[in-house]
Amino acid sequence: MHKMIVLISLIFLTSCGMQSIPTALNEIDANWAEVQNQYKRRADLIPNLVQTVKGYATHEKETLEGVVNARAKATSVNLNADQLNANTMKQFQAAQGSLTSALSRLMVVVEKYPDLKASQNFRDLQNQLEGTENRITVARNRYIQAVKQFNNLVTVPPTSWFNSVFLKHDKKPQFQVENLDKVKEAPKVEF
Amino acid sequence: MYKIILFTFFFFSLSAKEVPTLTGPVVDQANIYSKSFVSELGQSLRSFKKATDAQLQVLTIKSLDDESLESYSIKVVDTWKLGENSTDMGLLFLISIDDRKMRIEVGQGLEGVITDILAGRLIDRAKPYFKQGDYEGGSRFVMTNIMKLINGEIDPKQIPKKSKKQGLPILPIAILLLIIFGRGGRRRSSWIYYGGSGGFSSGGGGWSGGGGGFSGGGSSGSW
Repeated sequence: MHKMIVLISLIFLTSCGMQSIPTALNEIDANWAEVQNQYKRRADLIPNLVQTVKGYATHEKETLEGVVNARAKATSVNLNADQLNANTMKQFQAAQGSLTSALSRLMVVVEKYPDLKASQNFRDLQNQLEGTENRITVARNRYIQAVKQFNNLVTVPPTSWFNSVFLKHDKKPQFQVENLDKVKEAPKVEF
Repeated sequence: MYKIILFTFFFFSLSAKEVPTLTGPVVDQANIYSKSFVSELGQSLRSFKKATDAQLQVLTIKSLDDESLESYSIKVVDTWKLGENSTDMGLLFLISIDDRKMRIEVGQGLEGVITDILAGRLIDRAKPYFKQGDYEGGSRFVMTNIMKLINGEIDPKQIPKKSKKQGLPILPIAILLLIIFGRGGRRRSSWIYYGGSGGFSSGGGGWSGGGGGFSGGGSSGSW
């Protein structure tokens, strides 16, 4: 009989959100860390890229400076998962977004330099950059999924009751979509 | 907030192309391989998995149905979960015939060996085969070199560099490559390398993913 009570209360407790909400929160932590990790990976590629392009494209100082500045800005915005809210998320996205567009401007400029495009070094960098942009997309999608799940738990009964009485977590911010196509498809580096 | 949820639904309904069932190491939905090629390559990939734990997979599809190559590819590996949970050594070579696109999707455990750069070079080098319609040759080229890279048998630098501007070394390199890769490439002999461990003729037992993780590494290209 005692066992029965323990079992029933266990089932009740596990379905009330005591377990699922912190689990979902950890999932967000992990996914957010991956998002940042991949953005950092992209930032790490840039010095090398800029250096390589500089060697060939001597008249593109402005575009290159744009990339360097955007990178500096993007790397200065760092967010822990528990600092995430609509506002900080907006800043983060703005900073990374301007780096994305600076990079795509650079890739357009590069079209003018066939020697650069043909060099193995540049081709390799391009592959790495494309790979990283794709990883960013994947990481973002997983974060979106994790947040969706968490937000459901904290807003939809019965788990939301447990949350509003005990845990008092707020909803986590999603990536806002500036441009649907962009998120649907990895920002492609055209060549 | 509704917008976001709506968007999430919209987003996932966009990626609607279905993932086929994982029936073996070579899933040839586009029907571009001969029967003998499928069983040869399949056997070779099975014994490679036995030997190294790395689960390499080939999937050909007719068309992506307007989905992007990368998003379909990650959906396939997320469904199939190639590679063991503990090592994450899975890899997918995806070919979409009508779109003339291909992608090497690299599992987390193999990202160190098959870097984006190497995956990109393999794709670049496989393009000529696909341009000529030699799908078997191209797939063989990609898969054998991946196996060799994982086994550490070839120096990554040996992956052919395709530089147009450096006049001189191209011809010798091409000849050398022909000797290195071409020899195994054209005839069956290449498979003896991994497939020769007799007693596998029945096609081996089950083939399923083991929970390997992917995070979007690899490279894509079109021919």
